Amino acid sequence: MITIRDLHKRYRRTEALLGVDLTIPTGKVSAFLGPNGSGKTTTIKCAMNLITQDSGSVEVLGVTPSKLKPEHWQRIGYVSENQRLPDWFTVPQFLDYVRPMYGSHWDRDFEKKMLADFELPLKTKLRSLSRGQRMKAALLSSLAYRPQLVVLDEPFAGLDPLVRDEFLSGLLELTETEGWTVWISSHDMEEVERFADRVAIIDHGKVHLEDDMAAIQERFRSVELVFPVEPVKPALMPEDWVDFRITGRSARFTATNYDESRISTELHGLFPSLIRHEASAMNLREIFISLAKEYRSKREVKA
Amino acid sequence: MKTLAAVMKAEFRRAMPFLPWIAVTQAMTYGAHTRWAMEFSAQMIALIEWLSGSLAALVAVRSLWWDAPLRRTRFLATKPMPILPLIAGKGLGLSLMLVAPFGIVEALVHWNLGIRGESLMLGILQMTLLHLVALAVLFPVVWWWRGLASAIFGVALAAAVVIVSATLVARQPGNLNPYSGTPNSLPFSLLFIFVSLCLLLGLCSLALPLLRKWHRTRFAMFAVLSAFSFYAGLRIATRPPEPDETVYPELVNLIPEQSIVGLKRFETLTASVAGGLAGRDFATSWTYSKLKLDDRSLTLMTPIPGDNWSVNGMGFLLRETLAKRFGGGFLLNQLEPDDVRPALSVVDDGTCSGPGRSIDLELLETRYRWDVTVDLSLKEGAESSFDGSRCRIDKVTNGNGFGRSKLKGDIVGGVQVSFVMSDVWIDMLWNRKKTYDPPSSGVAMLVDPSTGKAEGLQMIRMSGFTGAVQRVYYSLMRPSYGDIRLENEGLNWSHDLRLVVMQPRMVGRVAHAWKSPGKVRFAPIESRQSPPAIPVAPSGVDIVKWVGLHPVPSREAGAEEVKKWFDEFLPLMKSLDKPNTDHNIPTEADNAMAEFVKNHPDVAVLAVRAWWDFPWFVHDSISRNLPRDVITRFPELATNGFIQSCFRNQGWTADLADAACDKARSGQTWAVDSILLSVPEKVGLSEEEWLDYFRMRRAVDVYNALADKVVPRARMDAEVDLILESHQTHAGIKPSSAIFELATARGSESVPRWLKEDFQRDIERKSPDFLSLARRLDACFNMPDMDLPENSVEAMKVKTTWFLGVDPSSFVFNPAIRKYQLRPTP
Repeated sequence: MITIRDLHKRYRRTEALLGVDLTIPTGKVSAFLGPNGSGKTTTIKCAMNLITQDSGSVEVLGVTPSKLKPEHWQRIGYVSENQRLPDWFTVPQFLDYVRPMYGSHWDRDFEKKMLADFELPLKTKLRSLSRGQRMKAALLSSLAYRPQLVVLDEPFAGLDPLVRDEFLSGLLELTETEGWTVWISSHDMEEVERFADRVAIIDHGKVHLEDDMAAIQERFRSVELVFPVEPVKPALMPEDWVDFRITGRSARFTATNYDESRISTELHGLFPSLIRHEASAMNLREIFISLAKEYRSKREVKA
Repeated sequence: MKTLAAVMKAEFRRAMPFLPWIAVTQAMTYGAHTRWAMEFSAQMIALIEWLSGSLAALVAVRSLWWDAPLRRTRFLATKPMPILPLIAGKGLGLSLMLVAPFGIVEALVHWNLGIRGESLMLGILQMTLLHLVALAVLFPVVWWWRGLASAIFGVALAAAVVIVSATLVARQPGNLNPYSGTPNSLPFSLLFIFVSLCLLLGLCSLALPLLRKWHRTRFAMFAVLSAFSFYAGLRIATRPPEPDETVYPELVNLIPEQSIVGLKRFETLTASVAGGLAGRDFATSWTYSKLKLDDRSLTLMTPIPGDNWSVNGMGFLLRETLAKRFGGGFLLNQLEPDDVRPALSVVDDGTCSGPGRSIDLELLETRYRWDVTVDLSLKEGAESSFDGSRCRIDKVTNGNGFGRSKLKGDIVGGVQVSFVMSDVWIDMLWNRKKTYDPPSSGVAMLVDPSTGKAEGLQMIRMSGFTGAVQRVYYSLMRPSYGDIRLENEGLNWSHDLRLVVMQPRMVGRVAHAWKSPGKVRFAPIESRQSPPAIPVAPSGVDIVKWVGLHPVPSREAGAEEVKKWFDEFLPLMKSLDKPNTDHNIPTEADNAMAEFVKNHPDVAVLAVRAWWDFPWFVHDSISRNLPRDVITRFPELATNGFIQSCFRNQGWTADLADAACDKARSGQTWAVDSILLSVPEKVGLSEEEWLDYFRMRRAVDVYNALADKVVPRARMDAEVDLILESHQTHAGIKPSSAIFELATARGSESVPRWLKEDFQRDIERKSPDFLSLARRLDACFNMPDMDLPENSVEAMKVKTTWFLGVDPSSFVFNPAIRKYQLRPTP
């Protein structure tokens, strides 16, 4: 649905994207994770033709973003926390304005359902709504026509937990029943973990990890090591061990490509005094933090 | 369609908070043009109109900026909004909300003021179209930018350049109001602003690297289209009015002068042609419609701080119009005399002089008559209608005026007049015969028919675009008004005055086209700056010894050597010029000077006026020693006044005839007038050319010089008759002295009457000039024998008393003696 290759973008002196490669497969929910300033929003804006890349290629629905026509936009739902809405409208007026652009694609029943679910006030101007309510209005206006591609840039900002839960449930349902493709950038790891089929992690303008959620959960393990005395960090370690830390007589690292049969041999080879080791599954938040720390330490070393 | 409707509905919803304010400002605009608002000043009404315009502009800009396609942060950037429904919806919505109210208010204003029919429809069309154009311009102006900073920069730059360009266009001769000479710019400038904006936005977009990078083809197309539209707009904005006929005068007068405007030195080319016999039937105004020097147009974008408009005969015609209506003669103050010659100047930066230039010019003469459109007794409530317009006298006061401070000599009294006139110009766009004719181009007067006096009123034009309510305030009769001479002593306020308004009506345009026969070489008349003094000679240098040591440069000597010699010699000669002493010029010095004049007469002649303290004995030496072949050697010196006087003194004027002929044909008769008039039979001009020369000068000395010498007297008389016919006036109006003298030379029957009326007027003013009258009587009248006293003053009184006692119709012109005499009794 979206293919991004070697995407570069510079804002004056700041290199925002340093060759992003990313694929958003059809019919899946792809999460786009990264710390603040890592390049998530810039990448999405390039894909949505809101900014122009310096080099590289982007294809959305088979065309470059600058060639996206109204008929393409009728199949794309884009919502961003930074999106400016015509705030002189009330919600019904806003929907009256947007509805004709989508013609027969617009689903009035779905609109009514979402309107009821989101409990939006109908007589208040958008400018007077809370941040969360404005986001709900934006989501409503971008989903009511059942788009094939949903691009959500930090959509949960300001949403209360109940609505967020309902929204995500609905989104998942639609994804499954209608085959929607969802590309969502977020900081909310727990939520993303619940529904994302794929995850891509970007840091400092480069995508470091891109894989299916199940594969990631399968691959990543937190490994704890116990020693009789405080160990010494070996000079050379397998490349898929990241975020290695020693605390007294124990040590901990993240194995990014965990293999039970292989790791025991590697551990005893590097640490002959190892008393025991224990591998535990990681949630997405832990994986993200672990990777983020590793990238930061690598940058520090490099610097 | 649904999208278009949604966009329109969105526009209304967006503008909803402003709509009440738009309604308020439009209501204020309407109110400002009702009788209720008569006390509003023009500035106040302009302010209200600008307020409503600005509010509409604010709403439009806000709407357009929100959805500007090049702004990627706009809401619609990720929505399936096709551009056409967006433009159409916005255009329709904004037109209905913002433009339509202007048209409706215009209709209401016209209706309320009683203006109906075509004027009403044209007024609505004009107002609607004007604001539609403004809205159409706003689309590219606001939509072209990606960011606010570049928008502010680009629009400000565009606005600045457009204002300058529009000012230049407005000053083009073709865009001048034929009645007033003021820029007649509105419709043309609007068009020009539109195309200029397109071009400027194209240029400003160069500052947008993204645009250049991604839309190269689009930009190239835009630039080409902009250039074409700019050119087309410029052509239309600067096109001259269409003449009814084109005439080709044989001779013209072109006077190049150097002048300084600000810190810059300019050369001004003033042109005049024969024609413009303004008088009884019509007044004329003049503009350049074309002036090309070496195929380079000077009328297109040349700044013209000089006078490129002149009017002829307006005051005369106003008097005639009044005299025809009320009988008798009228004295008008605040009006120029009628003998203004059609002379137009255009300024260029140093291209008039230098090498020879070919000249191609066309002067446009606009002829118009003055019609009395209002004639009301000065009573409150008096009202009259004309051409769909109305005039009403609202208030007349005899006591304190309208709050102005009173000065010595003021006659306290006031009148408030309201005019209702339609100020429509839109039909100029398709009717090139039409001229911009604002109501303010009329002249309002208070007339006292019993005394034949009239006082001009100031007509105040209401500002703004809407149908105008004209108002006149006149609180005090003031005997002096700026620099304007007051012939009468003011009106007697207690008399039965009448309010008279006269307005110009164009009756035709004539183009006068002329091309120089070849390259014309000008020597511009220098601006009046004090020439320098001759430097002081070094002390202790004896001129005789110096001359012995420094032989006079030969004819073949180089210019530098000649100049050096003369620059050293002249101060030595000057040192001989001492006050209260005899000028004993050493023979050696005198001989050296004589030899120098013979070898280098051009240097000597040009030096005469280069120094303010040029010694008279050197001047004398030059005139005595000037070689006769100087003109053969230096033909351009033929226009030099000193040479001409020297040749006249020597009796060689005929030698200059050929050069004078060439100069006359190249448009420089002014430089060779004395030659033309001295030896006309030697100058090879044709009879038609001589007649054009006379038509340009229209003076008695020309008449006398040409009649029966190069032009048969009958033809000259016919020309004079034409002039006099256009100046035949009613009793009490004094003609100009040039007309008087021509009439005398021709033997016009009006001359005795003019002379008598003029003198009687002087007596009424208690400033009779007996001497002047007596001289004229002696010159033009064959007085009967009478006993004149010895005392010349007494004799003068006897003559004038006799003349005043005779009925002017008793005189008849005797062609044999070319004087008037008493008609023989049958």
